[in-house]
Amino acid sequence: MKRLSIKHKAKQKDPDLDADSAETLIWTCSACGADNPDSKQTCVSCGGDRAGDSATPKPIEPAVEPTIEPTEEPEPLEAPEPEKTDAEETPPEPTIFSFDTDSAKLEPPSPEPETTPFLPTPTPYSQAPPSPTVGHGRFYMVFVNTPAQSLIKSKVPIEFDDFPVVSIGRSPENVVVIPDQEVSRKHAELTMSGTRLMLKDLNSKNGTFLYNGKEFQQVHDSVEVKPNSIVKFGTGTIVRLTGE
Amino acid sequence: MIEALETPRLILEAKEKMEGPLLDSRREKRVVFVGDTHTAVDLTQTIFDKYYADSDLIVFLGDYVDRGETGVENLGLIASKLLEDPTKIIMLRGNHESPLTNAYYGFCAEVTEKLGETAYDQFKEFFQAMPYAVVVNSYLCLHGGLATTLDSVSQIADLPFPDMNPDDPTAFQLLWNDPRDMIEGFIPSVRGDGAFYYGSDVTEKFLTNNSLKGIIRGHEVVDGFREDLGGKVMTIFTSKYHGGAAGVLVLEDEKMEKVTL
Repeated sequence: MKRLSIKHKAKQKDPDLDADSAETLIWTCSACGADNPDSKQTCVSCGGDRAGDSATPKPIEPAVEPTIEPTEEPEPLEAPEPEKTDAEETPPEPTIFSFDTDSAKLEPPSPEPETTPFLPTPTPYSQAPPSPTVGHGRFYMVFVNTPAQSLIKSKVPIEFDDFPVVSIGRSPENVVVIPDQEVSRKHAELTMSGTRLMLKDLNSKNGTFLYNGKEFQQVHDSVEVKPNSIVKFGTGTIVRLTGE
Repeated sequence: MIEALETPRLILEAKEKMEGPLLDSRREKRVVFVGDTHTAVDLTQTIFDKYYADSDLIVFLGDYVDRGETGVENLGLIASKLLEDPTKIIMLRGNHESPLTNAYYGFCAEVTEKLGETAYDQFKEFFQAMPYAVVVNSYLCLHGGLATTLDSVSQIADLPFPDMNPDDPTAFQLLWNDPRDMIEGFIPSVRGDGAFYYGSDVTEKFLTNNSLKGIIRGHEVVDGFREDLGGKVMTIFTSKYHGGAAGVLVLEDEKMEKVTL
């Protein structure tokens, strides 16, 4: 289940922009939030004027209508637990990974949960602090478990060159969208601090946890995560962070 | 079709055919493996119609009840076939053959409605007599998977038995654990305390040490099948309540065929 962000679309559509460094991105479209080179008088993403007040952000269409199906995961050992749901993954795309999905339903019974396509709201670059390590390393998030069974084993590139702050959460505006009702809308974020990969919990309702080889320990504020760390978001989603 | 009222007698008789927590290893020419059916008595009937006559063995990997309205009939149907030829049917225990789950996922209510307030006790007795595992053609067959405390298949024969929930940690994990080939070792499962994911290294080691070709199991909702560790761990799901495919695995000689019902 992937969603191209407007920022990525801009980059893909404009080879000049792609070749430029982040320093050349000098104006931000007020309509869609995409950054643009000075040479462009219209937004490379939504086509809006540089003045920006007349453009309408271009909605990003989900490649496939999300279908949500009930699954078994997880089950209680001694207490009732709500049914969770499954969201289908769209065919993989080569460089960018996110999920377009609706929130998973938790309340049983949920034979036919609603599926509502969303209009993603990209986070403008101007809201993200500049990455001190653009060009450093490449990481992946591999889904060990999540209520949407079809996402298990999915490998999501984490590219700090594109997103200095990789936001993780249930809302579609995140860089990595996790369709898990137990994951907060804005749950956590990954950043690079020098060569260190940092994981920060954003006061999520159900917490972020780092596996220490024995148990999952709750992350308070920000911690360094090493390659191959196992991280749990909320109660039902576990990922492995791998590096290249 | 089996009537619900027949099931108590059938499971009572089938219970007498159960032979402990680990069945003797089998080697057969044509074997059919069936994942979680979860009350899908129509699918179970289809499996018997399609495979019973021409197969040497049909292995049911557990989870016959809960999540539907016809768990009693589903259990009764499989038990009736087991009684017809006990060498041809294996009925392993799943995590839903337990009071831990039946109170919350519908089977207790179904039994009470169809058979009365006290009828569930007979089912509990049957469930705790069901075997956890069997090795068939060098594949370990069980509902969930490897346990943190399990080094060899033969250990399963020595587990406390009968065990109602089960409470023994190893037995519990055999019914509740899940494979994940992107991890190493065991990590705690989101299913809850006492359940784990088992990783690629511990699985490879277990298979090698026990001279096994692989593991065939159910327990997870997948679209018919999922392969882990390059196919060494096969997950089968044989119900359709999730809206996906129901699959069975047919092993003939050395050839493994995935069939969607």
